[in-house]
Amino acid sequence: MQSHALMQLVQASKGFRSGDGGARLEILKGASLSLSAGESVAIVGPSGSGKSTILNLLGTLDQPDEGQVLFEGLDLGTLDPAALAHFRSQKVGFIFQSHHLLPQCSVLENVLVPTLAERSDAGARAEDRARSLLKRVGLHERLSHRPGQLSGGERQRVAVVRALINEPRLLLADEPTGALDRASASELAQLLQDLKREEKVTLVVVTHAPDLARQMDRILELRDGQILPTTLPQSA
Amino acid sequence: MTFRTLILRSLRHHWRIHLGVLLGAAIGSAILIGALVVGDSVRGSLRQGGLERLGPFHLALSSGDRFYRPELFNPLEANHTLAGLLSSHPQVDPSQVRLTGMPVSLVHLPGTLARQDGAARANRIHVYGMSSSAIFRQPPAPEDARLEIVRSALWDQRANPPLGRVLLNETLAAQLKAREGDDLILRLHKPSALSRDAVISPREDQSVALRLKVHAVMSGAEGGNLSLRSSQIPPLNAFVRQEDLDTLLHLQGRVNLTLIPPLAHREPVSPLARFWRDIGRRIDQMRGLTSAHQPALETLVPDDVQASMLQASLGRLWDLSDAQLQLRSTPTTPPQLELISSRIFLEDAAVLAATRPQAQTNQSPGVAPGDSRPVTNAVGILTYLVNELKSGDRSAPYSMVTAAGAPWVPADLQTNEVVVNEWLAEDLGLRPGSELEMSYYLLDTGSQLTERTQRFRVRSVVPLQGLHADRTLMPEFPGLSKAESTRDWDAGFKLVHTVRDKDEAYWKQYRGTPKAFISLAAGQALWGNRFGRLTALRYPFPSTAATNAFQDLVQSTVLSNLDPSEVGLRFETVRQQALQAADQGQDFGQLFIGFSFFLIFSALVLMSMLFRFGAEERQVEIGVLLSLGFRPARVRRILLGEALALSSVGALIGLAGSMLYSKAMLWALGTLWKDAVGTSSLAFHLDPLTLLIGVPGSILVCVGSIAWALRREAQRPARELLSGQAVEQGGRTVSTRSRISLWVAVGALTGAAALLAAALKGNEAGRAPLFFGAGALLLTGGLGALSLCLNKAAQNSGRRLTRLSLMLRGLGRRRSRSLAAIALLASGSFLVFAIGANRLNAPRNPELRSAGTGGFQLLAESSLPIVRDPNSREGQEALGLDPTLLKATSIVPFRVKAGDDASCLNLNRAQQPRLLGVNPELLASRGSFSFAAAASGLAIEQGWRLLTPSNGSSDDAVPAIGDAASMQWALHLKLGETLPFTDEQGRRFNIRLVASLNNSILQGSLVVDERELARRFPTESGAQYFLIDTPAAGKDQVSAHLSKGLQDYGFESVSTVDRLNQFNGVQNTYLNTFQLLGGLGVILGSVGLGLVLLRNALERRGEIAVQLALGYSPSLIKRLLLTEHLILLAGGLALGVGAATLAVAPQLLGAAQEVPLPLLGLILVGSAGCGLLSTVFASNAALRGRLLDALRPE
Repeated sequence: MQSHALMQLVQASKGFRSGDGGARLEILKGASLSLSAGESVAIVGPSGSGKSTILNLLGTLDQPDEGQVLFEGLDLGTLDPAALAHFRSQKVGFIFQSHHLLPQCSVLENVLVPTLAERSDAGARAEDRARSLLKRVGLHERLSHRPGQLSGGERQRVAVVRALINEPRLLLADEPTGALDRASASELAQLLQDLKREEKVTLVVVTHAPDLARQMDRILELRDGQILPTTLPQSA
Repeated sequence: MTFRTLILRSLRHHWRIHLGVLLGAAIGSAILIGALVVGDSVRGSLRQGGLERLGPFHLALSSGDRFYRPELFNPLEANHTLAGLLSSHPQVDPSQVRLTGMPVSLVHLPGTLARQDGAARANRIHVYGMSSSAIFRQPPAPEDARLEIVRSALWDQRANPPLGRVLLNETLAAQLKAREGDDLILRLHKPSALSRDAVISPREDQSVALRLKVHAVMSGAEGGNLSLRSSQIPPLNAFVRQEDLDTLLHLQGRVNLTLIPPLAHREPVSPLARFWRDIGRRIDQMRGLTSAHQPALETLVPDDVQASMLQASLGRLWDLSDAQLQLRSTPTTPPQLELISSRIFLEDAAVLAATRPQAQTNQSPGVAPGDSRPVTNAVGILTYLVNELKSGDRSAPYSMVTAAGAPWVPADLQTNEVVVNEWLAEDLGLRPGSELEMSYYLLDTGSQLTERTQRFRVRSVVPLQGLHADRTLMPEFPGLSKAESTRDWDAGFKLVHTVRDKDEAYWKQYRGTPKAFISLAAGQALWGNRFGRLTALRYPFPSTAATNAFQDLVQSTVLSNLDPSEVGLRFETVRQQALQAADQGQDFGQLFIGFSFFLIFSALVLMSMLFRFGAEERQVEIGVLLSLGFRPARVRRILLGEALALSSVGALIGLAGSMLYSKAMLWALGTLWKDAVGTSSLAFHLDPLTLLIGVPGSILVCVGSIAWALRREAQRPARELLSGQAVEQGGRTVSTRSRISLWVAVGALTGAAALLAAALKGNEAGRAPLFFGAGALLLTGGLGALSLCLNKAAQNSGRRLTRLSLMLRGLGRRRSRSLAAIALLASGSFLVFAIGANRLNAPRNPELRSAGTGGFQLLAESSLPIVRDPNSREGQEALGLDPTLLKATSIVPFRVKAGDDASCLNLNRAQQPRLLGVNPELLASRGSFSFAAAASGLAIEQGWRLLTPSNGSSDDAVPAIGDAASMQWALHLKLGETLPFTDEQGRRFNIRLVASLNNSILQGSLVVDERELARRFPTESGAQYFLIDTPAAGKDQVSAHLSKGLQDYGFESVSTVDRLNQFNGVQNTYLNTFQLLGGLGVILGSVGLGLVLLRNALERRGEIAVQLALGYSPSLIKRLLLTEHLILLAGGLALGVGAATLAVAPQLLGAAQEVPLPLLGLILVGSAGCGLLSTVFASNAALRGRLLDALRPE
């Protein structure tokens, strides 16, 4: 186990009872994972293998049944909900397959929404950063537009910027290109890599898309509740 | 697959959300139909109460203090004589009808009843003297015939009290806490043919007492609540044997009330007609229109037709004594035929009838056909008691003076001339040409004893013989005619002049033989009065006619010329009046729809909201239908089809619920809100028409509400709908919405400001409605402004993002939903708060003349009229009151013409409201009461002086002033309108409402000038209603003293503040009802707010999950969600209460009424609490479960 790891998942197990009160399904069975600062990791695996569960555990949206989630050596399981919320706000950025932008807010406002988790006012600094990031992703002319007025790729770029607004250490992306066409998906993959570099964040991407996975530093596969290194065949 | 299948499939699939819609429709329908059923029940109960009061009788002849022979209607009892007796009518053949029962004649008098032990007392009771038990009804018989015999025997024993026994109705028994065998003292007003207002009416012995033992207590169903007055409040009735009253009051078996059952057609009824009538009868029973004693399945002659037939027949049935008239031969030589009245004065109508040729001359022996001279030759006589005849320093006290024509006086006797008899001439030293002063009391000045003096010149002196020695010229003045000596006189006033021995000797020898004679014109000018202008009519016997034949001729002339209604014998269609009073009475159906309005509105809004939520959830489905080629209208038809199905089922469930609701309301009206109805005997009644109207009406209202909510559904493109992003993006553009909101806000707020300015400039009377209007406009304007704010919030403002702006953005996103929630809460709290501030409490300063008490401390009523002046020392002494104790007290007496209570205490519509006659100056000089308004063209500043006929009315209508609330709600009349009345002589006249009073103790009656009342109802004597001005500190002592001193009159005084509170209690109870139901509406509104929140939160679960992922703590998310919706709650309540505060500012700031601030505070806190609770509950529910699932794509 590396001592300089940014985030670790240690022997984590997680199971769910099926909706109708049926048998318990074990998704993760003592899975472990270590993430270094600044690296990018892709997690692949078949549907239902627990990819999003890993993301939720890393993002503290969920807790493991067994095992630990450590951030810079700190056991996140010891934190109360408020501290966990603070952790998410300051250290983690989320990108979802469905962008989940607030339809009532403009592009700029959507980006600033995370800043309100800790303060009642977004503040000028955050707004400057939002503008700069949006400019960086090519949306500087769409600041006042509503999500409904953007294309799918544009919406996802807003979601990426929103995830970065609080300068997180960890960026978690759940099927970020799942709802995009090929060109937009490729564009977004490149953007994520660039931003990872520029923002010096650790990027974890859960994806079915091999092209996206291959652009990451490491590729891990989730199989039988375990996280295993893997490689993907080169596309034709 | 059909269109209907599609609707049914949709209903089934979306049953969960439809369940809420169904519930909303059921609640709305239950309340709507229930309110109508409450109306049916109150109306039905009033009808049944009216029918129970009257039993099987449809008509009544009530003649007050005029008594007639009970045999008058005996001929009617034998049905075979009906044809000959009844007058024919265009619609009815008298030979084809029969009376369905026996007429019943009674003596009906006011009285008081007290326990012999003094423990309890009841004033203003109705005493009925009965000769049989026919007014009572035996309860339904058992099946067993053997038991029936025993039961009948027991019933006969129970319903026929022996002499010295009394039957009480339940209300009176309860008030006296009397049981069978208890001893009671009954005190009665002694009927007097001569009005007690007449100066010469005896003052002593006005009331008599009788000790009675309670025989039994009769229930209302048994006929114990007999009453001719339309009121749901049972009367206080005592029934005694007529013989008891006869003995006590010397009525000679005469009666003054006859009740007549209906006439029925004799023709047989076909089986089919019988069937339909049976159905009709059952429906009538449901509506409270028939009672158990109603003749079954017979065709009844309409009451008004029967009344007119009977009225016309009275001329054939009555005799002179029924009109209190008598024909007698004088003991003069030659004898004359004299028409006199037991009322002393011949009424003008009788005089006219007796001096007019008969319309159809009955030929009498010795009287030539068509010869009218014998009748038209009649000579009028007016004899009166003068106090003093004086010439120089000599005077003769208390003498009769006759006013007549020739032959008693020379035909050319001037009005200033007098003929004296030789006794007087000698006594005063009179000769022709001497001056004679005549002092007398004005006859109808009652206790005031106004004395006038008139000078005459002696024309001649006549010997005391022949015509001039006729002692029968003196009418039978009640206190004088039987007196053996002048010492035995009860002249009605104190004899202040010395009665000399010679006067006593004159009385002994000549009795009331007049000492002086003046012309009839002069006499009538001096002594003519409201009771009449003659004391006798004398007819010289025609030399050719037999005495008896001539007497018959005069009698038949009088009887055929005189309309019985002119002497108070008039049939009233009492059953019809009772039903009319019930039907036109307070409509509780409308009242409860009004009270429940907000509750119904909330239920409908809730229902529409739920349906719309359902439709919004189905936007993809709608999009699919549109993409499949459905036209938007057709898609809406599917949705409306579902709405119709749900509304129909909801209405049917609501129908069942309405029965529960109406029963609950009836229970509350009989218990909690008894103040409003004054009775606990409200029974459930259902008019089938209510169901026919109520159910479809409810369905229509529900479908209409949903249609309104769905008016823009399916108008968006299928593409948008299919994407699931279309919610709240259809309809008008944001800028159009903003513009409309702006216009509404600016328009309404400007209007509010204008009304406010007008209110501040205008007079105080018109201020309240202007303020209310300003408040309502402020509410509208406020909602417009809020709508504008929400629109602004929904737009990208470009301002810095804050949590607050984020929340506002959230509210703006569902603008119409947010606005609906705010509007519901705002209007609910506006209504509840504004209505709450209208509660009427005791006036802050009851001693103020402008207060509802008129500045009087006490209000009193007496069972028997008080003729003596309670303000004068003499009057007080005569009444047995202590002048020292009453030194600082002054009393305003009112004459009373009994009538229906037109206050809010009577649910029936007053047909003939009670009239109070007052000297307007007594109230005007005090400036008592405050006037709400005056009729158009009249100056309100004139106040009570508007009652003076020349001031208040341009025609013959009698001006009247009433309480504004009574006029509006009980009489349904506006200022300037007239109300028809019938005077004592059966003449129609109008009462015109010239001004109205603000909330006052005079509710329930109309006040007129006492002179007008006396003119129209001359026999109503004395005062029976009193407003007592006395220092507040000693009012209890004065009240106790008056009540004790005047207890024989059934005098009962109450604090004016208490009386006002009693009236206020009714309005306050209505307000309580409204507030309770309105409060339920606000609760339903807050449930609606909770639903909005829940719905918002559920729609935003993905957004909430993202916030969670972005680092928002769950508590922050909950706080944001709560705050967002608390803004709605606070906004709604603040707007509603703010607008309501403006609306009721005059009441809040005015001095007249206390505002129940604690109660209003409680309502506010309650509403806020309910809203808060439902908001917290909904936000908790929304955040429950796995929010993260919302982050996953479907």
